[in-house]
Amino acid sequence: MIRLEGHASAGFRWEVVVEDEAAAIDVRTRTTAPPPTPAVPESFNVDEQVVVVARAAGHAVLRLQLRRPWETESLDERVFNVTVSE
Amino acid sequence: MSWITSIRSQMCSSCWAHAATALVESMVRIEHVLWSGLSEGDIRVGTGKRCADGGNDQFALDWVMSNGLIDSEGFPDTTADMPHVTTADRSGRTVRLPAKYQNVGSLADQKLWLDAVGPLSTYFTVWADFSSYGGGVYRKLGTVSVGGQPNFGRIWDGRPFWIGDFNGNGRSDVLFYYPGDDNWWLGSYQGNQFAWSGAGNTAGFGHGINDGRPFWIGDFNGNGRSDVLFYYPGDDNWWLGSHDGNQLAWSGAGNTVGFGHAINDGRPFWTGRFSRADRDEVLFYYPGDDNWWLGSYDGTQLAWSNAGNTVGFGHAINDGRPFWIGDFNGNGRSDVLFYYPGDDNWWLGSHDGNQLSWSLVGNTAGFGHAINDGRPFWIGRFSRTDRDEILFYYQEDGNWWLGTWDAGQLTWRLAGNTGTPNTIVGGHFMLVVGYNDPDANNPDGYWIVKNSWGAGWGEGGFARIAYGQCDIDSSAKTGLRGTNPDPWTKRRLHTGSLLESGNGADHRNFELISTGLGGGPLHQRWRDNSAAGFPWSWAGEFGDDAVECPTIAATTYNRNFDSVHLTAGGQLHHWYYDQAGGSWRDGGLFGWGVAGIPGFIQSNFDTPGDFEVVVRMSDGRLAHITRHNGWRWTRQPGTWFERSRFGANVLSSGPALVQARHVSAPGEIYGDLHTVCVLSGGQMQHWQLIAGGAWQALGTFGAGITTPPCMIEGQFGMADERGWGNFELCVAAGNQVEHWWRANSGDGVWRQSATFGHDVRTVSGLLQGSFSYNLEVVVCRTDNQLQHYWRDGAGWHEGAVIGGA
Repeated sequence: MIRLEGHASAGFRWEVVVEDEAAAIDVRTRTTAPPPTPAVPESFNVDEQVVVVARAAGHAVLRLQLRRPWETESLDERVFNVTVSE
Repeated sequence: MSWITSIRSQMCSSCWAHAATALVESMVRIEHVLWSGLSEGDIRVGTGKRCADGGNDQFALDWVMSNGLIDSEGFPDTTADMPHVTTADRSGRTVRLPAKYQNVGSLADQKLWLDAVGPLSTYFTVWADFSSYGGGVYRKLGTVSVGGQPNFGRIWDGRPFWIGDFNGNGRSDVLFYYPGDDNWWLGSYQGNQFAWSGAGNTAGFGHGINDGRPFWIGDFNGNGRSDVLFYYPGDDNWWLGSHDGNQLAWSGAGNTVGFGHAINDGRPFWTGRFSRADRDEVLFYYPGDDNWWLGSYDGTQLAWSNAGNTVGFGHAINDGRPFWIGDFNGNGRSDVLFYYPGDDNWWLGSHDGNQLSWSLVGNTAGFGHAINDGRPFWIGRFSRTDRDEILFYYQEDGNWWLGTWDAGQLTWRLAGNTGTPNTIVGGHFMLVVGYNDPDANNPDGYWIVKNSWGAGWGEGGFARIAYGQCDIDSSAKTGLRGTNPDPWTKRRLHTGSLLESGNGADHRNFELISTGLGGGPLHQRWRDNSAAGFPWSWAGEFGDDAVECPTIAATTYNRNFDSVHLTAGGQLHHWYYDQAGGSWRDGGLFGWGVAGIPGFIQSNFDTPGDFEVVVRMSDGRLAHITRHNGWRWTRQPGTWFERSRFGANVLSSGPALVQARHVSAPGEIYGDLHTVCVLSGGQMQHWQLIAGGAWQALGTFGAGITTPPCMIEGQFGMADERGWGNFELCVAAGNQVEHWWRANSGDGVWRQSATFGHDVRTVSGLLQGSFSYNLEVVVCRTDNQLQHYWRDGAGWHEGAVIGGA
């Protein structure tokens, strides 16, 4: 599991792209629970989690991009090379 | 009139600072008719918050009340976590908030506030789908899309699903019909998940046809792909839908009124290859007479034949646990697969020639216990052509899972997602700028909000959010009144002897400095723009060497009033009103051979901005004189020096110097300087200086002018704070005032709009202040009286006679 700092209050979400041998892994995303709401609300971001499950032997490239869905530029990018062995 | 500044794009988690800034900007616009571009970064960095930190709007406004809020040039918004170091003249270029913000609690009060006062900042819980909002009235969705797949929402809602090889690619597909819009969708397994495509629309059959009429799936026409067959009891017609590669093509398949009307009366129907090997058929049993009828498609319609009678015969037994039939192991024979919820084991029974041989083929406790909870399971050859597979959809996470028998085990793969549950991803602040109560087209009502996610989001950066959505109405919204804008923001809006200061209860008093015919001391008056009747009052006098009325400016030096006037000795004399000490101070003489009324402004060259003067000299030319004031230290601060001399045959200069919002110099932040003088031939001449260049004459206009012109850059022609406003110019001619204007964002042509007034000797001051878009003029009359004129939408009006100059 990869934990990523959220940036949703600025409109940014982590987008997952699997390249190369995509069939090697299954990727699911989820978010952490929001904090309790204080009496006077404050802005916050929940963290995002990417769960990677091995599916078949092979090599996949997991590219995580922090971007706004309506924009092409990404604010941040993380790349992971994943190798699944028998 | 628009009162909303441009959409910003926050790159930090500083929505709270953005909402507060947008609120202040809008209230400055509403209360003072003034466009301002303020700095969200000033608040975020000033409060000590890091880029990733949260906050709220009231925390931001508390800080602004103590520190003011600077313009975006003075402290640009930034993503850096850095010390808060702003310009040395911060006290003179920050909007002030003398009054505490207000909590506006009830929805009724919030609407009243929006109607009567202005916008409100608000909290809003961000759900995952909000970043994908593209327009319309926002109500959060139940599910959001994943991995580029369509977001069908929670689709296990009763709509019909069927399995079959509809597109004829040798593998089974998933077909569903959505009664909400009568669309049909086909999911075909490609690569490693289902790819969804539209498969037509049957609104022509009537809306919501999954009304209980029976549907069957089979290759009824024998073309190698599955078809959809339905019977409509309303008219006993049968219809066949066959996929043509793009969508289902529908054709009539006969009528069974001869069997009686509405035969889908509970009798069982099955499909299968009962009498032919090349196509599926429909078999039904009628309990009324125990006859069995077989329908076989002959290319045109279903041909029905009697298939026997089972009176006194039993029927298939099923004990309720989930069983599925298919050739799961690909040995060419059908198998029996069942799931036991007691231990989540899966068992496969395969006939060995004598009996069913049972083997454990897996366990799905990892999916949760007892998954036969109503979720749908389907059998088909989805990813392989040599064996049947089992597919299920789980409503709670929108996932589709495909089980394939391989080497004695069922192997489960995620086969896509058609909508995962929407979740809370953040807390946010925005600016509510309007509302729309429910009507026939809008049953719920909505708020109109300005967001800070750039103009590419939503509806040009705005959104309509249904009342009550995402906690938008769960807490009080924040309103603001009593803004006191800074002179830096107003610097283009006044000239000559008149300016609007931040004084008075409403922070909009007029200040007027004058001298009478023959010169002498300078007289200060002020108009109380918070009192009924707007009375003028005497404030005192200073100096003793003025020849004519001075040109004054409120500057970033702690909002001081700075004054420059022509002396009898052919020099310019600088005075300034020290706001801290409450008195006028002599700033000294400068220049030699001066022979005109000065244009005088504070520019944004250097920080604090330099003072710029353009004035007629005794040689009939114009001199551009600068006082260097601060950072970049190109000269000793406070030093006046002549930068250039330009023009010829100049009869008169005046308070007609403006640094425009428009920047011509590539890559610069320095707006062009513009001035207008009067030539000896009676025409006015327009000059422009682009940063780094030399003064250039742009043309002449008018005739018969001999007096000093007054010019400002007003706010007509500006769509928001980034626009370039029109030039407004007033000049005395023939004992009246001529008003000229130039459409700076249009054709750039000078036009005369009006001639007004009487007994006018010279125009002394011009401003556009807090009174709508009104222009305010003070003239010196031939009888040495000062008189006020003002223009509103109805034209020019004669105002008060203020007193002797």
